[in-house]
Amino acid sequence: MKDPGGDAPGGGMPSFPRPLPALEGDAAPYWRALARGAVELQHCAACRRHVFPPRPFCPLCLGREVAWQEVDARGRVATFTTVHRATHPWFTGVVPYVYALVELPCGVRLPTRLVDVRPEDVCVGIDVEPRFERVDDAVTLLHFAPRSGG
Amino acid sequence: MARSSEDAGLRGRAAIVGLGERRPTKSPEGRTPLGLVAEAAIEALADAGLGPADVDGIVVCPAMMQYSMLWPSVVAEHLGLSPSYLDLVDLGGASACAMVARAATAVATGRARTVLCVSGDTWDPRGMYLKPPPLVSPLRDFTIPYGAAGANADYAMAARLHMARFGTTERQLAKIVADQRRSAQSNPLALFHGKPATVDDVLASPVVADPLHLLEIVMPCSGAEAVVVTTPERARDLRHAPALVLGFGEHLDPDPFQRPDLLVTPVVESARRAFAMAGVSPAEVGFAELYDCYSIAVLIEIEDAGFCPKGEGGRFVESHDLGFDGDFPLNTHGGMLSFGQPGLGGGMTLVVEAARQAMGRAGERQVRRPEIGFVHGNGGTFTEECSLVLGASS
Repeated sequence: MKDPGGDAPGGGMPSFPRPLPALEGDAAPYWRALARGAVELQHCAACRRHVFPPRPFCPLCLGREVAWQEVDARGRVATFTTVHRATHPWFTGVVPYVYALVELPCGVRLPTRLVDVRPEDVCVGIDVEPRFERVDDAVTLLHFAPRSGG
Repeated sequence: MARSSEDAGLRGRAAIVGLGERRPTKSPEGRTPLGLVAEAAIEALADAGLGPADVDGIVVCPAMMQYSMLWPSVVAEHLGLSPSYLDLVDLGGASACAMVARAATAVATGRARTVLCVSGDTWDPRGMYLKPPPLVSPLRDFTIPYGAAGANADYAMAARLHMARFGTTERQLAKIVADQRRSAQSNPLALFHGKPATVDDVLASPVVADPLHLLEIVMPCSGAEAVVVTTPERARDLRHAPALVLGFGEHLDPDPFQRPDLLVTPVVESARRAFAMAGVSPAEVGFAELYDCYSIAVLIEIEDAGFCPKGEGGRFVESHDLGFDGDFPLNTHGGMLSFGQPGLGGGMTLVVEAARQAMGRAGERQVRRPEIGFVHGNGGTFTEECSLVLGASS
């Protein structure tokens, strides 16, 4: 995580910038792919399994033969919650929002936010597709929305 | 009890002989975590009838509001102790049970004779935001930017899935809170003493992260607890009939989001190990103290520890009276949901209550069957788990 920022003048609560991921490190190719509008994960050929979160080896066999590859990012909602009270100050302006775990066809479940949907229309098991939110030149976040046309 | 191969010679080889528990408070009231730790330690040693010279081991867990390297040494130095065994257990909500497991192992193997296990913390949300304790976890880059700082959203998602798959209801989850709150009315130390709450009250509290309401979420507080662990032989000369440490088990699942079944947790394995060491089954348990950071945590622990089959937790809590005088006494001093959660060591209040019950010292809230008690600590989002089986000595 980026540093949440310094003290505000006057001794009050500081203003908190939006929490964003660190773009360098093991996950750098993941965030670069999102910026291009693609979802890429590492794949272990030996275990025939995708790796998440990214790291330079497969946590099942500890083999280092993990290759980045684009995956089908149309998934289904494994579970979700509608958050009414934020636990990070930046999100107090976003509530209520739907936080979810989306299962991709490759089996990996990604924590995410659902957008373009009313909370009361979300159910466990609905089909979703990616919505790329370009935060700035460097950061793109991967949200999901109900799949149009089934 | 038949010896199993899994007890490793540790069953019943350690005993809890002294208890310390400070009254929790909503704000620090001028205290520091180190000061609170000292208060609880002094109380536990006095309760056991022991002095600093009797202590040759100390096990602590981190304080979030005074996060310090060398913490075992800092605490020992502050208390004037000269231990030959020092340890730090950093397993989140599983810490307290795991501290007792390490102390019991040290005592059983002769590594130490008398071990002080102590935890304490203050709570200050402003301090938590301004100076959070460091935590390196690659997964956090994939959760916090999407709105899941803290644990509320993860437990809420577990509750949502349990309801969708098994038909568990909000009223069933709320009953856990209400039954515990009833027991808390017999505990003057509890933050919610004098404040009973019904199922309807729980459901009328604000929804924080759907389907979880405010009263289903533990209240962090300032406080401290301690237990003194020694050999059963040494315990015979001390003030109280001890609580015997019959079994313990620990287990970690490396990723709560990728486990094959999101609702089958490593509690299964930690509890299985604890029961195997103790040589008892869940059916023999007379009372349970289960880590209750959230209502849904209790429900899933009930299932995964083996008190009922997976998916039947909702019906289980609905059909049993969970009060200390009920047919399934659960979190008999109110649980953390009524008592408060003093930091990462908050689970120690559950250990203290379990020992108090097994020692027969629970007064008006004494359970009818104190012979076998089960205690569970849960860290992360059902990530690291530790279970204890305690027994009465008489």
